Amino acid sequence: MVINLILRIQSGIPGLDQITADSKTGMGGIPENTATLVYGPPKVGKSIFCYQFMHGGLSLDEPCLYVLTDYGIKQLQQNTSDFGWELDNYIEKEMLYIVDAISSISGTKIINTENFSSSSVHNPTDIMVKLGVGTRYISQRSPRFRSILDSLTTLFAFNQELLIVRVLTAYIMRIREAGGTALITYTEGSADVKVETMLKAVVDNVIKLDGEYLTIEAMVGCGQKKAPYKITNEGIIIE
Amino acid sequence: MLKAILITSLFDLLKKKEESVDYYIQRLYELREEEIETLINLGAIYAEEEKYEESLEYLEQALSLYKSMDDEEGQAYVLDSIGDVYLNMRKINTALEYYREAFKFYSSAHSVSAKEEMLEKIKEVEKIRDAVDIVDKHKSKSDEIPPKFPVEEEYVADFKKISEKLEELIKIIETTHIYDMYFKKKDAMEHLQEAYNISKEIGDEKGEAALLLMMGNILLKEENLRNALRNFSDAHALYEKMGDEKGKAISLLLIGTVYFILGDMGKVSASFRKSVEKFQELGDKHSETLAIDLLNMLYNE
Repeated sequence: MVINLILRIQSGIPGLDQITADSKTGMGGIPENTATLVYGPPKVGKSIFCYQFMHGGLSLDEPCLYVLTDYGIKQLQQNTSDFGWELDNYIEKEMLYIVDAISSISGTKIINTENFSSSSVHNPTDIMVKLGVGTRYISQRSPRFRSILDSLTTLFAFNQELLIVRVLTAYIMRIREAGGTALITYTEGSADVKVETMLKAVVDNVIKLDGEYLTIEAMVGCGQKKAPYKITNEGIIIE
Repeated sequence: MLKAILITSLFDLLKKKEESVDYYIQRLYELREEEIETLINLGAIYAEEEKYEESLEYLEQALSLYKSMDDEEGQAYVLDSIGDVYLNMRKINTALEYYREAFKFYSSAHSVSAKEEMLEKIKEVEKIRDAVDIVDKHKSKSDEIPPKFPVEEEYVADFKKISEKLEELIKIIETTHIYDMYFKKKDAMEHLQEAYNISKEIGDEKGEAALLLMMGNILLKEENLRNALRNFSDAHALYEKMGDEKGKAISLLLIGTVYFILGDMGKVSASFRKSVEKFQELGDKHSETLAIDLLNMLYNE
Protein backbone atom coordinates (compact mmCIF):
# COMPACT_ATOMS: atom_id res chain seq x y z
CA MET A 1 0.00 0.00 0.00
CA VAL A 2 1.36 3.37 -0.99
CA ILE A 3 0.78 6.21 1.40
CA ASN A 4 1.06 9.69 0.00
CA LEU A 5 2.79 11.31 2.90
CA ILE A 6 1.95 14.95 3.30
CA LEU A 7 4.62 16.73 5.26
CA ARG A 8 3.27 19.20 7.73
CA ILE A 9 4.80 21.96 9.73
CA GLN A 10 3.71 22.99 13.19
CA SER A 11 1.22 25.82 13.01
CA GLY A 12 2.22 27.42 16.30
CA ILE A 13 -1.47 27.58 17.28
CA PRO A 14 -2.17 25.38 20.30
CA GLY A 15 -4.77 22.79 19.33
CA LEU A 16 -4.74 23.37 15.60
CA ASP A 17 -2.24 20.66 14.79
CA GLN A 18 -4.42 18.20 16.68
CA ILE A 19 -7.55 18.91 14.69
CA THR A 20 -5.66 18.76 11.42
CA ALA A 21 -3.91 15.50 12.30
CA ASP A 22 -3.99 12.75 9.72
CA SER A 23 -5.91 9.75 11.00
CA LYS A 24 -3.30 7.34 9.62
CA THR A 25 -0.03 9.09 10.33
CA GLY A 26 -1.17 11.22 13.23
CA MET A 27 0.72 14.15 11.74
CA GLY A 28 -0.95 17.54 12.02
CA GLY A 29 -0.18 21.11 11.15
CA ILE A 30 -0.04 23.16 8.00
CA PRO A 31 0.92 21.19 4.87
CA GLU A 32 4.47 22.11 3.95
CA ASN A 33 5.17 24.10 0.79
CA THR A 34 1.58 25.18 0.38
CA ALA A 35 -0.28 28.48 0.61
CA THR A 36 -2.93 29.09 3.25
CA LEU A 37 -5.50 31.84 3.23
CA VAL A 38 -6.71 32.96 6.65
CA TYR A 39 -9.76 35.14 6.29
CA GLY A 40 -12.67 36.51 8.25
CA PRO A 41 -14.23 39.76 9.47
CA PRO A 42 -12.12 42.40 11.21
CA LYS A 43 -10.78 41.87 14.74
CA VAL A 44 -11.09 38.10 14.88
CA GLY A 45 -7.38 37.34 15.30
CA LYS A 46 -6.06 36.95 11.77
CA SER A 47 -2.87 38.88 12.49
CA ILE A 48 -2.43 37.05 15.80
CA PHE A 49 -2.64 33.82 13.82
CA CYS A 50 0.23 35.17 11.71
CA TYR A 51 2.36 36.08 14.76
CA GLN A 52 1.94 32.61 16.14
CA PHE A 53 2.73 30.98 12.82
CA MET A 54 5.86 33.10 12.55
CA HIS A 55 6.95 32.61 16.16
CA GLY A 56 6.20 28.90 16.04
CA GLY A 57 8.56 28.57 13.09
CA LEU A 58 11.27 30.80 14.51
CA SER A 59 11.36 28.79 17.70
CA LEU A 60 12.01 25.72 15.52
CA ASP A 61 14.80 27.54 13.63
CA GLU A 62 12.62 28.02 10.58
CA PRO A 63 13.28 31.52 9.26
CA CYS A 64 10.44 33.74 8.18
CA LEU A 65 9.83 36.27 5.45
CA TYR A 66 7.18 38.71 6.65
CA VAL A 67 5.42 41.14 4.31
CA LEU A 68 3.66 43.92 6.21
CA THR A 69 0.95 45.95 4.55
CA ASP A 70 -1.44 46.74 7.41
CA TYR A 71 0.97 47.80 10.13
CA GLY A 72 4.63 48.71 10.21
CA ILE A 73 7.60 46.99 11.75
CA LYS A 74 7.33 48.97 15.00
CA GLN A 75 3.77 47.82 15.50
CA LEU A 76 4.68 44.26 14.62
CA GLN A 77 7.36 44.32 17.30
CA GLN A 78 4.95 45.88 19.79
CA ASN A 79 2.10 43.47 19.01
CA THR A 80 4.26 40.38 19.27
CA SER A 81 5.92 41.71 22.40
CA ASP A 82 2.46 41.98 24.01
CA PHE A 83 2.27 38.20 23.75
CA GLY A 84 5.79 37.82 25.05
CA TRP A 85 7.31 36.99 21.66
CA GLU A 86 10.31 39.24 21.24
CA LEU A 87 11.56 39.60 17.69
CA ASP A 88 14.78 41.57 18.18
CA ASN A 89 16.81 38.47 18.76
CA TYR A 90 15.53 36.79 15.60
CA ILE A 91 16.15 39.92 13.57
CA GLU A 92 19.67 40.06 14.90
CA LYS A 93 20.21 36.39 14.10
CA GLU A 94 18.98 37.07 10.56
CA MET A 95 16.11 34.62 10.97
CA LEU A 96 13.54 37.20 10.04
CA TYR A 97 13.32 39.21 6.82
CA ILE A 98 10.76 41.98 6.80
CA VAL A 99 9.27 43.86 3.86
CA ASP A 100 7.45 46.83 5.35
CA ALA A 101 5.11 48.26 2.72
CA ILE A 102 3.16 50.58 4.98
CA SER A 103 5.51 52.67 7.14
CA SER A 104 6.70 54.71 4.15
CA ILE A 105 3.08 55.80 3.53
CA SER A 106 2.85 57.45 6.91
CA GLY A 107 6.13 59.24 6.25
CA THR A 108 8.06 57.29 8.86
CA LYS A 109 11.73 57.41 8.05
CA ILE A 110 13.09 53.92 7.71
CA ILE A 111 16.60 52.73 7.10
CA ASN A 112 16.87 49.63 4.97
CA THR A 113 19.12 46.95 6.38
CA GLU A 114 20.26 43.56 5.21
CA ASN A 115 17.07 41.91 6.40
CA PHE A 116 14.67 44.83 6.30
CA SER A 117 13.25 46.45 3.19
CA SER A 118 10.88 49.33 2.90
CA SER A 119 8.30 49.27 0.14
CA SER A 120 4.91 50.75 -0.59
CA VAL A 121 1.38 49.38 -0.83
CA HIS A 122 0.98 51.73 -3.78
CA ASN A 123 3.57 49.81 -5.65
CA PRO A 124 2.98 46.07 -6.05
CA THR A 125 5.91 45.68 -8.42
CA ASP A 126 8.32 46.94 -5.82
CA ILE A 127 6.79 44.68 -3.17
CA MET A 128 7.41 41.76 -5.51
CA VAL A 129 11.00 42.88 -6.14
CA LYS A 130 11.67 43.11 -2.40
CA LEU A 131 9.94 39.81 -1.90
CA GLY A 132 12.33 38.27 -4.41
CA VAL A 133 15.31 39.66 -2.52
CA GLY A 134 13.84 38.48 0.79
CA THR A 135 13.10 35.01 -0.55
CA ARG A 136 16.68 34.59 -1.73
CA TYR A 137 17.95 35.85 1.62
CA ILE A 138 15.78 33.54 3.70
CA SER A 139 15.98 30.42 1.53
CA GLN A 140 19.78 30.59 1.69
CA ARG A 141 19.53 30.25 5.46
CA SER A 142 17.20 27.29 5.50
CA PRO A 143 15.51 25.10 2.89
CA ARG A 144 12.42 25.17 5.10
CA PHE A 145 11.02 28.59 5.79
CA ARG A 146 7.75 30.41 6.31
CA SER A 147 6.35 33.44 4.65
CA ILE A 148 3.51 35.67 5.77
CA LEU A 149 1.61 38.32 3.86
CA ASP A 150 -0.53 40.31 6.28
CA SER A 151 -2.68 41.38 4.58
CA LEU A 152 -4.24 41.57 1.15
CA THR A 153 -6.86 43.98 2.48
CA THR A 154 -4.68 47.09 2.31
CA LEU A 155 -3.37 46.11 -1.10
CA PHE A 156 -6.93 45.90 -2.37
CA ALA A 157 -7.61 49.35 -0.97
CA PHE A 158 -4.78 50.93 -2.97
CA ASN A 159 -4.78 48.92 -6.19
CA GLN A 160 -6.99 47.26 -8.76
CA GLU A 161 -8.43 44.05 -7.36
CA LEU A 162 -7.37 41.86 -10.26
CA LEU A 163 -3.86 43.21 -10.08
CA ILE A 164 -3.67 42.03 -6.48
CA VAL A 165 -4.94 38.59 -7.45
CA ARG A 166 -2.06 38.41 -9.93
CA VAL A 167 0.34 39.63 -7.24
CA LEU A 168 -0.90 36.89 -4.93
CA THR A 169 -0.45 34.25 -7.62
CA ALA A 170 3.11 35.42 -8.30
CA TYR A 171 3.85 35.59 -4.57
CA ILE A 172 2.67 32.03 -3.94
CA MET A 173 4.59 30.76 -6.93
CA ARG A 174 7.84 32.31 -5.72
CA ILE A 175 7.49 31.04 -2.17
CA ARG A 176 6.63 27.55 -3.34
CA GLU A 177 9.51 27.45 -5.77
CA ALA A 178 11.89 28.44 -3.01
CA GLY A 179 10.48 25.70 -0.75
CA GLY A 180 8.60 27.92 1.66
CA THR A 181 5.15 27.69 3.22
CA ALA A 182 2.97 30.75 2.81
CA LEU A 183 0.26 32.30 4.93
CA ILE A 184 -1.90 35.11 3.64
CA THR A 185 -4.59 37.05 5.43
CA TYR A 186 -7.61 38.81 4.06
CA THR A 187 -10.51 40.72 5.64
CA GLU A 188 -13.77 39.35 4.39
CA GLY A 189 -15.79 41.76 2.28
CA SER A 190 -12.93 44.09 1.38
CA ALA A 191 -12.99 42.93 -2.24
CA ASP A 192 -15.66 41.84 -4.68
CA VAL A 193 -17.25 38.43 -4.02
CA LYS A 194 -15.91 37.11 -7.31
CA VAL A 195 -12.42 38.23 -6.32
CA GLU A 196 -12.81 36.43 -2.99
CA THR A 197 -13.66 33.27 -4.88
CA MET A 198 -10.55 33.74 -6.98
CA LEU A 199 -8.41 34.17 -3.86
CA LYS A 200 -9.68 30.89 -2.48
CA ALA A 201 -8.95 29.20 -5.79
CA VAL A 202 -5.36 30.44 -5.89
CA VAL A 203 -4.38 29.06 -2.47
CA ASP A 204 -4.15 25.44 -1.28
CA ASN A 205 -5.72 25.80 2.16
CA VAL A 206 -8.49 28.06 3.44
CA ILE A 207 -9.07 28.82 7.10
CA LYS A 208 -11.86 31.06 8.31
CA LEU A 209 -11.88 32.84 11.65
CA ASP A 210 -15.16 34.43 12.73
CA GLY A 211 -14.38 35.39 16.33
CA GLU A 212 -15.84 32.19 17.76
CA TYR A 213 -14.96 29.39 15.43
CA LEU A 214 -11.98 28.45 13.36
CA THR A 215 -13.18 26.63 10.26
CA ILE A 216 -10.89 24.74 7.96
CA GLU A 217 -12.77 25.11 4.71
CA ALA A 218 -10.12 23.45 2.62
CA MET A 219 -6.77 21.87 3.38
CA VAL A 220 -4.51 19.46 1.58
CA GLY A 221 -4.98 15.98 3.08
CA CYS A 222 -7.56 17.13 5.59
CA GLY A 223 -11.33 17.32 5.48
CA GLN A 224 -13.39 20.26 6.60
CA LYS A 225 -13.04 20.95 10.30
CA LYS A 226 -14.58 23.42 12.69
CA ALA A 227 -13.53 24.21 16.24
CA PRO A 228 -14.14 27.00 18.72
CA TYR A 229 -11.22 29.21 19.62
CA LYS A 230 -10.39 32.06 21.93
CA ILE A 231 -7.79 34.75 22.02
CA THR A 232 -5.76 34.73 25.21
CA ASN A 233 -2.59 36.38 26.50
CA GLU A 234 -0.78 33.55 24.77
CA GLY A 235 -2.49 34.05 21.45
CA ILE A 236 -5.15 31.95 19.75
CA ILE A 237 -6.03 28.69 21.46
CA ILE A 238 -8.28 26.06 19.91
CA GLU A 239 -10.66 24.81 22.55
CA MET B 1 22.10 98.41 -92.43
CA LEU B 2 22.06 96.03 -89.47
CA LYS B 3 20.08 98.58 -87.43
CA ALA B 4 17.49 98.76 -90.17
CA ILE B 5 17.18 94.97 -90.22
CA LEU B 6 16.78 94.78 -86.46
CA ILE B 7 14.07 97.44 -86.39
CA THR B 8 12.27 95.68 -89.18
CA SER B 9 12.47 92.37 -87.29
CA LEU B 10 11.23 93.93 -84.11
CA PHE B 11 8.27 95.42 -85.89
CA ASP B 12 7.60 92.07 -87.51
CA LEU B 13 7.58 90.51 -84.10
CA LEU B 14 5.16 93.05 -82.77
CA LYS B 15 2.80 92.90 -85.65
CA LYS B 16 0.04 91.62 -83.42
CA LYS B 17 0.80 94.08 -80.66
CA GLU B 18 -2.00 93.36 -78.19
CA GLU B 19 -1.45 89.63 -78.30
CA SER B 20 2.29 89.95 -77.85
CA VAL B 21 2.10 92.14 -74.75
CA ASP B 22 -0.23 89.72 -73.02
CA TYR B 23 1.97 86.86 -73.99
CA TYR B 24 5.17 88.43 -72.69
CA ILE B 25 3.58 89.73 -69.54
CA GLN B 26 2.36 86.22 -68.86
CA ARG B 27 5.75 84.82 -69.79
CA LEU B 28 7.49 87.31 -67.51
CA TYR B 29 5.16 86.36 -64.69
CA GLU B 30 5.91 82.68 -65.20
CA LEU B 31 9.63 83.32 -65.27
CA ARG B 32 9.40 85.25 -62.03
CA GLU B 33 7.36 82.46 -60.49
CA GLU B 34 9.99 80.02 -61.60
CA GLU B 35 12.75 82.22 -60.22
CA ILE B 36 10.95 82.57 -56.92
CA GLU B 37 10.41 78.85 -56.71
CA THR B 38 14.09 78.30 -57.36
CA LEU B 39 15.05 80.85 -54.71
CA ILE B 40 12.74 79.26 -52.17
CA ASN B 41 14.09 75.81 -52.95
CA LEU B 42 17.62 77.07 -52.50
CA GLY B 43 16.61 78.64 -49.21
CA ALA B 44 15.09 75.34 -48.06
CA ILE B 45 18.16 73.33 -49.03
CA TYR B 46 20.49 75.72 -47.21
CA ALA B 47 18.22 75.64 -44.14
CA GLU B 48 18.27 71.86 -44.22
CA GLU B 49 22.05 71.99 -44.29
CA GLU B 50 21.91 74.44 -41.38
CA LYS B 51 23.51 77.15 -43.55
CA TYR B 52 21.04 79.67 -42.25
CA GLU B 53 22.61 82.89 -43.59
CA GLU B 54 22.59 81.60 -47.14
CA SER B 55 19.09 80.32 -46.65
CA LEU B 56 17.88 83.73 -45.46
CA GLU B 57 19.61 85.47 -48.35
CA TYR B 58 17.69 83.47 -50.96
CA LEU B 59 14.42 83.70 -49.11
CA GLU B 60 14.76 87.50 -48.85
CA GLN B 61 15.29 87.64 -52.60
CA ALA B 62 12.16 85.56 -53.10
CA LEU B 63 10.29 87.90 -50.79
CA SER B 64 11.40 90.97 -52.79
CA LEU B 65 10.16 89.41 -55.99
CA TYR B 66 6.77 88.59 -54.48
CA LYS B 67 6.63 92.18 -53.21
CA SER B 68 7.32 93.51 -56.68
CA MET B 69 4.53 91.31 -57.96
CA ASP B 70 2.26 92.48 -55.17
CA ASP B 71 1.51 88.83 -54.37
CA GLU B 72 0.30 88.81 -50.76
CA GLU B 73 -0.11 85.08 -50.44
CA GLY B 74 3.35 84.54 -51.85
CA GLN B 75 4.83 87.06 -49.43
CA ALA B 76 3.07 85.35 -46.56
CA TYR B 77 4.49 81.99 -47.61
CA VAL B 78 8.06 83.29 -47.77
CA LEU B 79 7.71 85.20 -44.49
CA ASP B 80 6.54 81.98 -42.87
CA SER B 81 9.59 80.16 -44.28
CA ILE B 82 11.94 82.88 -43.03
CA GLY B 83 10.31 82.54 -39.63
CA ASP B 84 11.05 78.80 -39.72
CA VAL B 85 14.71 79.49 -40.41
CA TYR B 86 14.90 81.84 -37.43
CA LEU B 87 13.15 79.28 -35.28
CA ASN B 88 15.75 76.71 -36.26
CA MET B 89 18.36 79.26 -35.25
CA ARG B 90 16.55 79.43 -31.87
CA LYS B 91 15.79 83.11 -32.48
CA ILE B 92 12.24 82.72 -31.27
CA ASN B 93 11.24 86.39 -31.15
CA THR B 94 12.50 87.10 -34.65
CA ALA B 95 10.70 84.00 -35.89
CA LEU B 96 7.50 85.25 -34.28
CA GLU B 97 7.84 88.63 -35.97
CA TYR B 98 7.96 86.94 -39.36
CA TYR B 99 5.08 84.63 -38.51
CA ARG B 100 2.93 87.57 -37.46
CA GLU B 101 3.78 89.37 -40.66
CA ALA B 102 2.87 86.25 -42.61
CA PHE B 103 -0.41 86.07 -40.72
CA LYS B 104 -1.25 89.65 -41.77
CA PHE B 105 -0.66 88.86 -45.42
CA TYR B 106 -2.66 85.64 -45.27
CA SER B 107 -5.51 87.61 -43.66
CA SER B 108 -5.31 90.32 -46.26
CA ALA B 109 -5.26 87.72 -49.04
CA HIS B 110 -8.30 85.99 -47.46
CA SER B 111 -6.48 82.67 -47.28
CA VAL B 112 -8.64 81.30 -44.52
CA SER B 113 -7.05 77.92 -43.88
CA ALA B 114 -3.49 79.25 -44.22
CA LYS B 115 -4.39 82.07 -41.85
CA GLU B 116 -5.72 79.64 -39.25
CA GLU B 117 -2.69 77.41 -39.54
CA MET B 118 -0.46 80.44 -39.12
CA LEU B 119 -2.32 81.48 -36.01
CA GLU B 120 -1.91 78.01 -34.52
CA LYS B 121 1.77 78.09 -35.27
CA ILE B 122 2.16 81.51 -33.65
CA LYS B 123 0.43 80.28 -30.49
CA GLU B 124 2.64 77.23 -30.38
CA VAL B 125 5.84 79.19 -30.76
CA GLU B 126 4.66 81.83 -28.30
CA LYS B 127 4.30 79.10 -25.71
CA ILE B 128 7.88 78.05 -26.22
CA ARG B 129 8.97 81.69 -26.07
CA ASP B 130 6.95 82.31 -22.89
CA ALA B 131 8.33 79.20 -21.30
CA VAL B 132 11.86 80.35 -21.92
CA ASP B 133 11.05 83.88 -20.77
CA ILE B 134 9.46 82.76 -17.51
CA VAL B 135 12.49 80.81 -16.51
CA ASP B 136 14.73 83.68 -17.53
CA LYS B 137 12.80 85.87 -15.10
CA HIS B 138 13.25 83.31 -12.36
CA LYS B 139 16.96 83.51 -12.83
CA SER B 140 19.06 86.06 -11.07
CA LYS B 141 18.85 89.41 -12.83
CA SER B 142 22.59 89.72 -12.68
CA ASP B 143 22.98 86.52 -14.66
CA GLU B 144 24.04 87.11 -18.15
CA ILE B 145 21.92 85.20 -20.58
CA PRO B 146 24.20 83.08 -22.68
CA PRO B 147 23.92 83.50 -26.43
CA LYS B 148 21.35 81.16 -27.88
CA PHE B 149 22.73 78.67 -30.32
CA PRO B 150 25.10 80.65 -32.49
CA VAL B 151 24.39 79.73 -36.07
CA GLU B 152 27.82 78.41 -36.83
CA GLU B 153 28.06 76.38 -33.63
CA GLU B 154 26.93 72.77 -33.78
CA TYR B 155 24.67 71.63 -30.98
CA VAL B 156 26.36 69.11 -28.71
CA ALA B 157 24.10 67.62 -26.06
CA ASP B 158 25.28 67.25 -22.50
CA PHE B 159 23.60 63.88 -21.96
CA LYS B 160 24.47 63.68 -18.28
CA LYS B 161 23.00 67.07 -17.53
CA ILE B 162 19.87 66.40 -19.57
CA SER B 163 19.42 63.02 -17.91
CA GLU B 164 19.64 64.59 -14.45
CA LYS B 165 16.96 67.07 -15.39
CA LEU B 166 14.76 64.32 -16.78
CA GLU B 167 15.22 62.35 -13.58
CA GLU B 168 13.74 65.29 -11.69
CA LEU B 169 10.74 65.20 -13.97
CA ILE B 170 10.28 61.45 -13.73
CA LYS B 171 10.26 61.73 -9.95
CA ILE B 172 7.07 63.79 -10.18
CA ILE B 173 5.31 60.51 -10.85
CA GLU B 174 4.52 59.03 -7.46
CA THR B 175 5.07 55.46 -8.59
CA THR B 176 8.72 56.19 -9.31
CA HIS B 177 9.63 57.29 -5.76
CA ILE B 178 10.06 53.76 -4.60
CA TYR B 179 12.34 52.89 -7.53
CA ASP B 180 14.62 55.74 -6.66
CA MET B 181 16.83 53.45 -4.62
CA TYR B 182 17.47 51.31 -7.74
CA PHE B 183 19.14 54.31 -9.32
CA LYS B 184 21.63 54.43 -6.50
CA LYS B 185 22.70 50.87 -7.13
CA LYS B 186 25.73 50.14 -9.22
CA ASP B 187 23.85 48.04 -11.74
CA ALA B 188 20.75 50.22 -11.82
CA MET B 189 19.65 49.10 -15.26
CA GLU B 190 19.70 45.46 -14.25
CA HIS B 191 17.53 46.16 -11.20
CA LEU B 192 15.12 48.26 -13.19
CA GLN B 193 14.89 45.58 -15.85
CA GLU B 194 14.12 42.97 -13.21
CA ALA B 195 11.40 45.15 -11.75
CA TYR B 196 10.07 45.84 -15.24
CA ASN B 197 9.79 42.10 -15.93
CA ILE B 198 7.88 41.66 -12.68
CA SER B 199 5.55 44.55 -13.46
CA LYS B 200 4.77 42.92 -16.81
CA GLU B 201 4.23 39.56 -15.14
CA ILE B 202 1.71 40.88 -12.63
CA GLY B 203 0.19 43.39 -15.05
CA ASP B 204 1.14 46.45 -12.98
CA GLU B 205 0.83 48.99 -15.79
CA LYS B 206 1.61 51.97 -13.57
CA GLY B 207 4.84 50.34 -12.50
CA GLU B 208 5.59 49.24 -16.04
CA ALA B 209 5.22 52.78 -17.42
CA ALA B 210 7.28 54.33 -14.63
CA LEU B 211 10.06 51.78 -15.11
CA LEU B 212 10.08 52.38 -18.87
CA LEU B 213 10.65 56.08 -18.22
CA MET B 214 13.44 55.36 -15.77
CA MET B 215 15.17 52.87 -18.06
CA GLY B 216 14.69 55.25 -20.97
CA ASN B 217 16.48 57.95 -19.06
CA ILE B 218 19.45 55.69 -18.42
CA LEU B 219 19.53 54.84 -22.13
CA LEU B 220 19.45 58.54 -22.96
CA LYS B 221 22.37 59.13 -20.63
CA GLU B 222 24.21 56.38 -22.49
CA GLU B 223 23.39 58.26 -25.73
CA ASN B 224 21.23 55.36 -26.91
CA LEU B 225 18.59 57.71 -28.25
CA ARG B 226 16.65 55.27 -30.38
CA ASN B 227 15.92 52.93 -27.51
CA ALA B 228 15.35 55.81 -25.11
CA LEU B 229 12.72 57.17 -27.47
CA ARG B 230 11.12 53.76 -27.78
CA ASN B 231 10.91 53.43 -23.99
CA PHE B 232 9.41 56.91 -23.58
CA SER B 233 6.92 56.28 -26.36
CA ASP B 234 5.89 52.92 -24.86
CA ALA B 235 5.41 54.61 -21.49
CA HIS B 236 3.31 57.30 -23.13
CA ALA B 237 1.13 54.65 -24.76
CA LEU B 238 0.62 52.96 -21.39
CA TYR B 239 -0.30 56.24 -19.69
CA GLU B 240 -2.70 56.92 -22.53
CA LYS B 241 -4.27 53.50 -22.01
CA MET B 242 -4.62 54.13 -18.28
CA GLY B 243 -5.95 57.66 -18.81
CA ASP B 244 -3.12 59.04 -16.69
CA GLU B 245 -2.82 62.64 -17.87
CA LYS B 246 0.16 63.53 -15.72
CA GLY B 247 2.07 60.47 -16.88
CA LYS B 248 1.23 61.37 -20.46
CA ALA B 249 2.46 64.92 -19.99
CA ILE B 250 5.75 63.83 -18.47
CA SER B 251 6.43 61.18 -21.08
CA LEU B 252 5.74 63.78 -23.78
CA LEU B 253 8.41 66.00 -22.27
CA LEU B 254 10.90 63.17 -22.38
CA ILE B 255 9.94 62.36 -25.97
CA GLY B 256 10.32 66.03 -26.86
CA THR B 257 13.77 66.08 -25.30
CA VAL B 258 14.95 63.20 -27.47
CA TYR B 259 13.59 64.96 -30.55
CA PHE B 260 15.43 68.10 -29.48
CA ILE B 261 18.70 66.21 -29.32
CA LEU B 262 17.91 64.68 -32.70
CA GLY B 263 17.18 68.16 -34.05
CA ASP B 264 13.59 67.44 -35.09
CA MET B 265 12.24 70.82 -34.03
CA GLY B 266 8.74 70.29 -35.37
CA LYS B 267 8.22 67.31 -33.07
CA VAL B 268 9.91 69.13 -30.19
CA SER B 269 7.42 71.96 -30.19
CA ALA B 270 4.45 69.61 -30.64
CA SER B 271 5.52 67.44 -27.69
CA PHE B 272 6.35 70.34 -25.38
CA ARG B 273 3.21 72.25 -26.26
CA LYS B 274 0.94 69.28 -25.55
CA SER B 275 2.76 68.61 -22.32
CA VAL B 276 2.61 72.16 -20.98
CA GLU B 277 -1.06 72.38 -21.95
CA LYS B 278 -1.78 69.24 -19.97
CA PHE B 279 -0.03 70.56 -16.88
CA GLN B 280 -2.03 73.76 -17.24
CA GLU B 281 -5.28 71.78 -17.55
CA LEU B 282 -4.33 69.83 -14.43
CA GLY B 283 -3.41 73.04 -12.62
CA ASP B 284 -0.08 71.43 -11.82
CA LYS B 285 2.16 74.47 -11.42
CA HIS B 286 5.09 72.52 -10.04
CA SER B 287 5.31 70.21 -13.05
CA GLU B 288 4.76 73.13 -15.39
CA THR B 289 7.68 74.97 -13.83
CA LEU B 290 9.89 71.90 -14.17
CA ALA B 291 8.86 71.55 -17.81
CA ILE B 292 9.74 75.17 -18.44
CA ASP B 293 13.00 74.67 -16.63
CA LEU B 294 13.85 71.76 -18.91
CA LEU B 295 12.94 73.75 -21.98
CA ASN B 296 15.06 76.61 -20.81
CA MET B 297 17.97 74.35 -20.13
CA LEU B 298 17.80 72.81 -23.60
CA TYR B 299 17.45 76.11 -25.39
CA ASN B 300 20.22 77.76 -23.43
CA GLU B 301 22.66 74.93 -23.36
